Amino acid sequence: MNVVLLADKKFRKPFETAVKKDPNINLVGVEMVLRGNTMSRIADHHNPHALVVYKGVPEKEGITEKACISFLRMVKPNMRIIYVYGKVDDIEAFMAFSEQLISNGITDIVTDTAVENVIKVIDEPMTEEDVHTIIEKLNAPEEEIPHEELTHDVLMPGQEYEPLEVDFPTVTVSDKFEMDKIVYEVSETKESEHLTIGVAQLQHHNGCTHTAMELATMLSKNKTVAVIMADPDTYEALVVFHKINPMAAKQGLDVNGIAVFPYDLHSQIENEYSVIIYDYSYLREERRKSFDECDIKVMLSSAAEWDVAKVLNFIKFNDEKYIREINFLFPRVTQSKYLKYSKVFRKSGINTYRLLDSPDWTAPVEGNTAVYKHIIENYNIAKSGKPPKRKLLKIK
Amino acid sequence: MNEQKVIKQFAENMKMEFAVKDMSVYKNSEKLYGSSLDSAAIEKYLSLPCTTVYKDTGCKLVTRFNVSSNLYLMVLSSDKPDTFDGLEAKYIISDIKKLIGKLGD
Repeated sequence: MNVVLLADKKFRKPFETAVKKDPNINLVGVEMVLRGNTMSRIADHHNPHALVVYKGVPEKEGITEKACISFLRMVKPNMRIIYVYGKVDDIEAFMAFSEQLISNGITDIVTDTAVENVIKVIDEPMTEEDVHTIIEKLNAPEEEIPHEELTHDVLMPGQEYEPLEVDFPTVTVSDKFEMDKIVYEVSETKESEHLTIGVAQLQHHNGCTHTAMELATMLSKNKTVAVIMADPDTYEALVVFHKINPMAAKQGLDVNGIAVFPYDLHSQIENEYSVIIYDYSYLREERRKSFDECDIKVMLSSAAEWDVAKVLNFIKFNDEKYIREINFLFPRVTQSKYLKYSKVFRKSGINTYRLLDSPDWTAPVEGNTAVYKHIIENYNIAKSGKPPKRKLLKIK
Repeated sequence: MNEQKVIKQFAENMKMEFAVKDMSVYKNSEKLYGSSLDSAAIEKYLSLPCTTVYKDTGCKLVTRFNVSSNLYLMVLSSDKPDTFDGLEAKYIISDIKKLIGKLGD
């Protein structure tokens, strides 16, 4: 059987190695990116008996996985499509997606990425019944779910969001407002002794440090606040700019009344301040865990045409629940353009805000202060008694 | 009857019939009635796909509508968390629709 693989490059080698061992499979082509000519390459050039599609193939030139599958079903109705969905994190999203595939005549749906299982499905086609059995198993109650966890995940009636479907066509479509549909957003105020706020950015130069410092300025009016610069280069550049020997600034700085520390000190100071703001700058993998652990997550993202793909991919390749915990902040964008984007994001339950030009971080503009207040509104931050007794090098 | 008066009367009815404490109305992002909203709240509410009720210790019902080419944003607030639960919200929406009719006259 002639087979073509359509998958991200990380799946290529294990797949090639595995098919070599199966005499029934002849791998005639591999496509690692979905772009304008991919469909004709598959349909006309490779013309395989079966196409194996792994979820999350990188998309370029506005061609989506969904569009590609629909097109191939139309032009090559006899070609089997084996869809590798991978691990199911969100059962409802999987059910909706598998229904779509089934309605397109695709019943070979693999719910893990183990290559042996993919090969097995190539050799032994699945039926619609098999897919429903998978869904039934996924829906079967787990052995024991701790009560506390369950209550957090239970949604109020009407609190459901639409599945995350943020792509280029949808962000350009203006949606109609449905007055009769009522959605409930329930929040509860949390008490916090030591609140941690992580500020990161998806592209460089979105003003991550500036935003962290603005947040600190706003909060420092009645709370003790420290900013931790997770990027050593940023901290060093700040120190050097003020003509301070980096060695002398290792224990932290007082910048216009804001305590600023290098990342190395974070474990020492985290209980000394009522709010710790982590400035992660460009979010690197090694800081991802630390960012994820912050009580409040802020992600600065550019809405420019050449940058927005990064935001969409970040949303697409992360868990929906996690994405909804993040506040996406868009600087340098007009209100009309921002509203067009945010309508799509909000529909999927994603929090977005627009930042205004605010050149002086020591006096943030009112619009930005309003954004920061919205971000922290669910937290009741404790007032620290005494300010920490640390001798910091003062910068004015 | 002018627009301000119609909206004021509507707000008074809302306060009388339901446990509504405050009502804000914005027309094309300019305040028309009630207390002010900050810019982040206005943009957030203008992005909503449908009528939304925010619940915490109190609650807020946010909706918007068009009358000719004008966009109205309406926020009803209550100190009680269950003011806009279930049928109450539907009654309010139906009253808002009557208000839209009056504003269009």
